[in-house]
Amino acid sequence: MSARQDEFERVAMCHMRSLLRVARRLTSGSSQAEDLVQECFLLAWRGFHQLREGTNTRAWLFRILFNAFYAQGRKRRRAPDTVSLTADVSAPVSSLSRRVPPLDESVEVARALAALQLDHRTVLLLAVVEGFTCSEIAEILGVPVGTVTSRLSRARQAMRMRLAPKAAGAAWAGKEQG
Amino acid sequence: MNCTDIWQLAPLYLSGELDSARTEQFAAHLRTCDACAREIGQQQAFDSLLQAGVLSEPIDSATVERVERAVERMVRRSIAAESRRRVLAVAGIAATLAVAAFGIRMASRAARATIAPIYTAAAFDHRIEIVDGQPRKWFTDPAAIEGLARSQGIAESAVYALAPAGYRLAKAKVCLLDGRLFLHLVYANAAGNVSLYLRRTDRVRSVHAETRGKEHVAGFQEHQLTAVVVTEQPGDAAERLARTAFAIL
Repeated sequence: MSARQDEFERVAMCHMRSLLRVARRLTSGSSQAEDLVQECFLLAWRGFHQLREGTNTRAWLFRILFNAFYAQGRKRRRAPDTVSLTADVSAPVSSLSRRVPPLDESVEVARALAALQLDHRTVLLLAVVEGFTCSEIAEILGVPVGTVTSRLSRARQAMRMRLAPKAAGAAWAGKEQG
Repeated sequence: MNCTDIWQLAPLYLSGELDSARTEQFAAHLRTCDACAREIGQQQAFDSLLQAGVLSEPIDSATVERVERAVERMVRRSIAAESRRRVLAVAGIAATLAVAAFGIRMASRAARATIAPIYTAAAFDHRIEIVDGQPRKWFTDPAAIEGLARSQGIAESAVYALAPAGYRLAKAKVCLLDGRLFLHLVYANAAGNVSLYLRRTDRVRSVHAETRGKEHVAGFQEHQLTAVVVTEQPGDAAERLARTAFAIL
């Protein structure tokens, strides 16, 4: 294995789980998610020699992932934000049932997240689950920071409308503990 | 800061991107406004719920290994394809540089070789665009540079294969030299810059290595390609770089 391959594995491949997690939420099946992540890494490899020291590699990979995702969407000539509720929710639930006790909340969250429009689901995943800042998300998606904050507010509102009882309950519990 | 500001700034507050002054103003408002404080509290609680919900879904090791193996295969194929392209490019370019090397040797012996107008134009172009750094629209993305090369009828692999040893491809654009379009490639390292001007051609001419003003120019022209190397580096750098490139190939 060349030094370049070693370096690629060290700085890029370690983000595979994060990319798979988001890819699963973008696509309508786990095999599509795997294809998307593979495509992402191939593109990343081709551009790896251009990656400058100090670049946020994780954000760079996510930018490639979304570019690949939108490119695939354009190729299929159909809107990419069609996510099957059944496919999106049933796979994780079935795997959960085999490995850990089922969590009603996570099923609800998965269902509500899948029902969001793509733009909202994307910013919510990147901000809340992956922990990117609004500036980083703007960079990843190639949109202004104001667009990201606006989408985030709307996405949070939409999710809370679906999960209001649980969210409100959690909030009250938090206040009682605090 | 009022309730509308809080609504607008909430995402930046929750991600910790507000500066200290605005964070303090934000917090001060929450201390005096129960509705906003409740709203932010619920958003934070909801974020935790969402994060826990998504992260609780496992990504099994078999999936990760499957994708890793697939990526590894794709990378290997990519390397092999790049090698094949490089070999093809080298085959073509080696012939070109063989002519160049011969020509450069001949030119070195010549006390007074004729300086082609194209060399004067290339030296001037390198001086104002690279040494003086006059603003120009450059392409830096590899894919864009490859596309630019193709648009000029030059194999994309040539832009990499012709790179002098120790230099990296920094940028490219199309420019006009003596009334003709050339692909202008700039290679850089800590020592300085080297401009390589390429143009497809269908005529055979002689080869020169000359100094023009402060710029050192080495060039060749054969049945498919005109190439001019220009650098502001002292001595016989242009000629040496051409020789080094030839030796590497």
